[in-house]
Amino acid sequence: MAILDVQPELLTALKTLRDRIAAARLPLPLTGAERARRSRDELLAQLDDYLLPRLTSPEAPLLAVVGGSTGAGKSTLVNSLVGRRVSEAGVLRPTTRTPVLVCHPDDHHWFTGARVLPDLRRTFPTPQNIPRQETPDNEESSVEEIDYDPESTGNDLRIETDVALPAGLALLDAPDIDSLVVSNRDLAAELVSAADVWILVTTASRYGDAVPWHLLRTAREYDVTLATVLDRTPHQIATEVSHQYGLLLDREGMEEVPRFTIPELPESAGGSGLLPATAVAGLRQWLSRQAQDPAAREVAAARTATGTLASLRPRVVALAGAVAAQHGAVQRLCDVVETSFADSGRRARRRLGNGELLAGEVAARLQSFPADCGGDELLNAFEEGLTALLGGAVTVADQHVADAWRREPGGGCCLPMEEDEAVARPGFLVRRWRRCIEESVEEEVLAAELGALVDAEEMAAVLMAALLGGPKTEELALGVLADALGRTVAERLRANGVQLLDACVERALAARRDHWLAPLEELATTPDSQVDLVAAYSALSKARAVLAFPAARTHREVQRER
Amino acid sequence: MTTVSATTREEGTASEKEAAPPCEDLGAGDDWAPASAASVSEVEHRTTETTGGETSAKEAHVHEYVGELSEAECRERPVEEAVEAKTAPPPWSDGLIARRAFSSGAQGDSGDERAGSRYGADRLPTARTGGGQVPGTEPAVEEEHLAAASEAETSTDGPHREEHEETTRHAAPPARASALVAPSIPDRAEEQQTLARRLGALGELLGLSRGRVEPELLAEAARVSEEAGARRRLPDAYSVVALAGATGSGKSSLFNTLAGAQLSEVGICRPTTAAPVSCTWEAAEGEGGADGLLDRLSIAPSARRYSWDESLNGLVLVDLPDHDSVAPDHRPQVDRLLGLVDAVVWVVDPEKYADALLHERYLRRMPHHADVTFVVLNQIDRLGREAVGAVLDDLRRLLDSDGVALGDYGEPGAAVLTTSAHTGEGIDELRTELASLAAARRAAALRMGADLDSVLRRLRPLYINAEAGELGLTELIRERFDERLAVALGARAAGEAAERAWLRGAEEASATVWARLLKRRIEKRRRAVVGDAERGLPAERPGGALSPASRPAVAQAVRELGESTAAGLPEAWSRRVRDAAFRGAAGLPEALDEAARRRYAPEGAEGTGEFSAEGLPAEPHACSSAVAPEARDAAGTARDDRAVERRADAPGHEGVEKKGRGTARFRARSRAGGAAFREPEAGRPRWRTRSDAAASAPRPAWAPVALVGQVLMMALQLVGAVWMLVASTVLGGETAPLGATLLGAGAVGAPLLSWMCRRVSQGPARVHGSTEEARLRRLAAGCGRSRVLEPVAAELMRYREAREQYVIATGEV
Repeated sequence: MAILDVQPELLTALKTLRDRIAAARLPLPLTGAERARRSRDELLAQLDDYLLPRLTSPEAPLLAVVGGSTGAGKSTLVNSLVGRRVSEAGVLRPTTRTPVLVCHPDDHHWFTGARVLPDLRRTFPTPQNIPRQETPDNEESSVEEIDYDPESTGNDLRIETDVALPAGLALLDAPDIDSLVVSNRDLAAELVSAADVWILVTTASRYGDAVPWHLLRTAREYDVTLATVLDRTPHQIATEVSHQYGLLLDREGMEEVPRFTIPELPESAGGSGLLPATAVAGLRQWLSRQAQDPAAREVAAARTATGTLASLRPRVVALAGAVAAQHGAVQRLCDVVETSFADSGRRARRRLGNGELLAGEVAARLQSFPADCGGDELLNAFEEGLTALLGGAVTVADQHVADAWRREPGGGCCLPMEEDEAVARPGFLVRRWRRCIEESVEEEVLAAELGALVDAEEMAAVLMAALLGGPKTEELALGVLADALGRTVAERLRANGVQLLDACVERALAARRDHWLAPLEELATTPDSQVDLVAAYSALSKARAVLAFPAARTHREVQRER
Repeated sequence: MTTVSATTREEGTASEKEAAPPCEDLGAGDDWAPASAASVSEVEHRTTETTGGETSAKEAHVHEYVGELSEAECRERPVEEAVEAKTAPPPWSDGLIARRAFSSGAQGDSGDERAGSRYGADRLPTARTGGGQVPGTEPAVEEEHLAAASEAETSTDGPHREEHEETTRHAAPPARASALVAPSIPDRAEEQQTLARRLGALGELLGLSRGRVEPELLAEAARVSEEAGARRRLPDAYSVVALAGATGSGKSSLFNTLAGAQLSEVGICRPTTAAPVSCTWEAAEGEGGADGLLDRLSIAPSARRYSWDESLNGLVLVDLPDHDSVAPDHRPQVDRLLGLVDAVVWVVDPEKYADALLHERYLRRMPHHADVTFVVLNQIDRLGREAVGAVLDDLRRLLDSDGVALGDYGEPGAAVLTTSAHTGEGIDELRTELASLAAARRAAALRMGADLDSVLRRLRPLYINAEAGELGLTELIRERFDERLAVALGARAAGEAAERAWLRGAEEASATVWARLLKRRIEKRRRAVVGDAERGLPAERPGGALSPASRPAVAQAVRELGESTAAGLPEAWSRRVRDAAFRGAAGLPEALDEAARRRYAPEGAEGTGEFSAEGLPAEPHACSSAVAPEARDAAGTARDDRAVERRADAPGHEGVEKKGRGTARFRARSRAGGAAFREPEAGRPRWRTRSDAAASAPRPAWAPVALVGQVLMMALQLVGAVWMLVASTVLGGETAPLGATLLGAGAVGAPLLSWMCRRVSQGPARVHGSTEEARLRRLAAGCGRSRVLEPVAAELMRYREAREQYVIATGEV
């Protein structure tokens, strides 16, 4: 029988949203990125495990999950509801490692496929797989024991069948929600959000704990069908504790949640047995009614489904915000790189224009130039000076970017690998430029056939002085060149040299800049992801709004109207 | 007192909230003897009772303290005290510890032994094995043990056998006790000293790191230092022990049990304890009160209780609120108090012992505090007998995986106990543990030591870098830095230029006459062709002043220095070292300029050739001085034109060419010579030209002598030529060879002379060049050292000091 009447548009919108959520990437470790990643995983899990299956095949049986803290007595409860030991219960904590799903044999086919909880591997009980009871005296057991490999938790789901359960209902015994083993915690969260009915178990000594209350509040927020069980209550204080618990629930606004109290009995203490049927009668009756009475079943399933649908909104919005923040951070990092390298380049060019190279060794050589210093010595000096200048510019920009990235949230992870040739690169480019200058001067000297009178190397040195020496030196050096080779030739050489110099400076900086930008480009964040997510969600809410079925409104809204 | 307990015993009611008076019959006062005497009588009284009331006492879940003096206790303790009473009591009665120091030879699970080994026996390793620390008495004691044991065995019946064995182990000879007990006071003093030293080092460390390391990283250490200071000012006769645990674990019940009165509220409504409650067992007289401690913990005066039990003297027990309930203000309180107490008893129960919150948030974060940690598994009455063992093993496994050292087999570590506040099982062991903790008076010191350890562990990466190589300003680094600064100043180039200028001067001064004439001819011809090319290029910056130091090169030198010095240091310190280097280098180029300028100014006018200190205005003077020698030269060498042509390829010219450039150099020089004839162009600022450069080459002192020699050679050649001519034409041929000889002598002698002068001047040239270079290097190194190396060295020194203090603080020294 149909639980929900859904339109196909809703389903397609939901599927699109799911794909978009799966495509959202959060690579940078910004603040809140971890939470956003977890939220995304939870959203995906919930969509895959619960919403899509429920809406696609509304006639599937109800899934009721029994969840709670360590040692709350969930396994014992499930065993008692079914009437035989299907789940391990014991004194050592944490107990449940592999979740167990119990259903009526007629419903078996619903759960064997990958419809619900697709990423858990199904295992089935073979005659040897009957769970071993954790008898502390370690007496010989009549059945063979299979060692459960403790490493393989979290990926298996054991499916059991029993006719004691009503058709249309399946019980799932989940691991502890606050287990010491982290993978168990995640699995518990996943299982709980995959269910139609949540049964949250707490005990007389735990009902004041913070963690189960968090889960209760989440349940109220998502408006799921919920029941809570106060387990392991010593019978002397049962009424009082129950009353206290009721008060606490009322204070949280959960008065109408069905509440069951189960006493602690010596049979169940130590996990050595089942509770008597009378103890769990109330809960059993409630569950049967939910499963078999069509109206109640409709309400139960619809309520959870619509509540979950409604809860998607803030989560999707938060996820979209996180994705946008990621993109923004990447943009900021890129900007920092661009500006600092541009600044550095500007500064280097200005220095060259001012003739700041004429200092130190260069100045000494130039001073003694034709008389005491050879052409190539001067050329060497210029080359070293220019290399130092460019190398300094690149290093300063590097430092600046590294510092700024370290301060930015998320920048620390994008620091590129160190290359050794980054340091040598300006030297290489400058050497190449020098060779170009020398060759061009040689060509001109050959062309003018002044080879006997004019030394090409010295001319090249003079040309370099013109290019790198600042305005006054440029004037004089150009004069010398013009005198030796003719004014037009001198001009041509100078123009060519200036162009090559610009290219050399640009290349030196660009190489390093691209090195920084490469990892950012790999992240490939675009502003589109956020837009896509929001668009998908709007499509979904529009599709939801046209649902004709009255259960489309959440239970709360219906209550408010009444 | 004994009657009261007896009466209540007989009544055997199970009233939960009865305020029974604290039982003092167990208490060990200052002397064992009176207590044991009392307890002996007590024993007799009780043993008559136990047989009757056994069954009733076992069943009822009594809450009164007296009820917890269960059968086991009555059987164990008083009997051992009976044995004890027979032997002579020790003069100084820290009897508990002394006894445990002996009994730790046994490997039982009893809390006594473990406690003793923790606080007493680990100082005396031989005590465990029973090896002869006090020779002579040992073997006798052993025999006594065995004798007593065998006696006991035969005399007592089955059920009591175990207890008797234990008691004989407990009954250590008191004679040895006194010998072993005495060292404990000097050991404690030593411990206090070590702690004081470590705390002092921590304080120094914080002082040295301020301003270098980010304050938030040091916040924890500062807090530890402060708290330790506060604690040391308070009496260490008191040990503050907190009962912590999850809601519903039974902390308050345990608290009441230990205190012997209903001091803390126990209830079924969760969460229960909202504000901490304390119970103080006063220490001996003269030690002061515990009020200071309780004030520090901010325990309300109304929540301070007192109790009396001789064995627990000096114990302050605090019942904390839970740490995992819905009430929002419990956890911050717990966190704060856990940082202020000396020891913590974690109370867990079978339902919640594997709670992630307890392990992840608390136990895992305090791995160094194992010595002052107790873990108590409460509510074991809810488990079956056999299940208790399994759960306990599981708990120990969890603690092990949390990184908490477990005190087994006499190792120091956390103690794990099982209790039931309802039935009273295991309470004795807990009480014994606490009593030994209180009596040892080391809880505060242990806690402070553990805090120090954990905070220093976290601070380690700030001070110690595992992969560090050789640290600091090594010679290699200094040399490289000086080298680079010298390059920045152009020292080598200047030196080479000076050398070459000197050589050039020598060359010119010793050139043969023919060479001089030829030089002029060619220069004149060149000038006609290519004009006044290759005027000297100035090294001039727009400011007008010369700047000898190259900024990029200086920056590179400083950067490299920073990198290499900061290479092995931890992050914050390497940043500081680099910053110090950069800060110092901010004015370095200007300083280099200034120094160079000051050195050069007096010599610039002489024209040593490299830098003219003043800008424009000096030029004309230089020019004028330059012109004069040229004019002199020109006048003197006009005669040698003809000879120059014949000497065009004389080897004298090659001396200058170090690069084998062919004739270019020669032409260049001749062009320079030619330029001398051009008039300085008036009105246009004239930079120092090649002729200036040429002219400013230093003229060696022997120049006139060389000139005279060359002229003589020239004259010789001329005379020889004329003689040959005259002899062959007028006088006949006999004297012609003489003329030829003269000619030959002159022709050979001139270049020879020239060559010799050049060779001779090579040495001084090199010396001149290298002095120039050395002077510049010294200049550069001096500036660099004072501005950059010293701040860097200061930072490194500070880091070294900090690291030393860190090592002292860890107590490894």
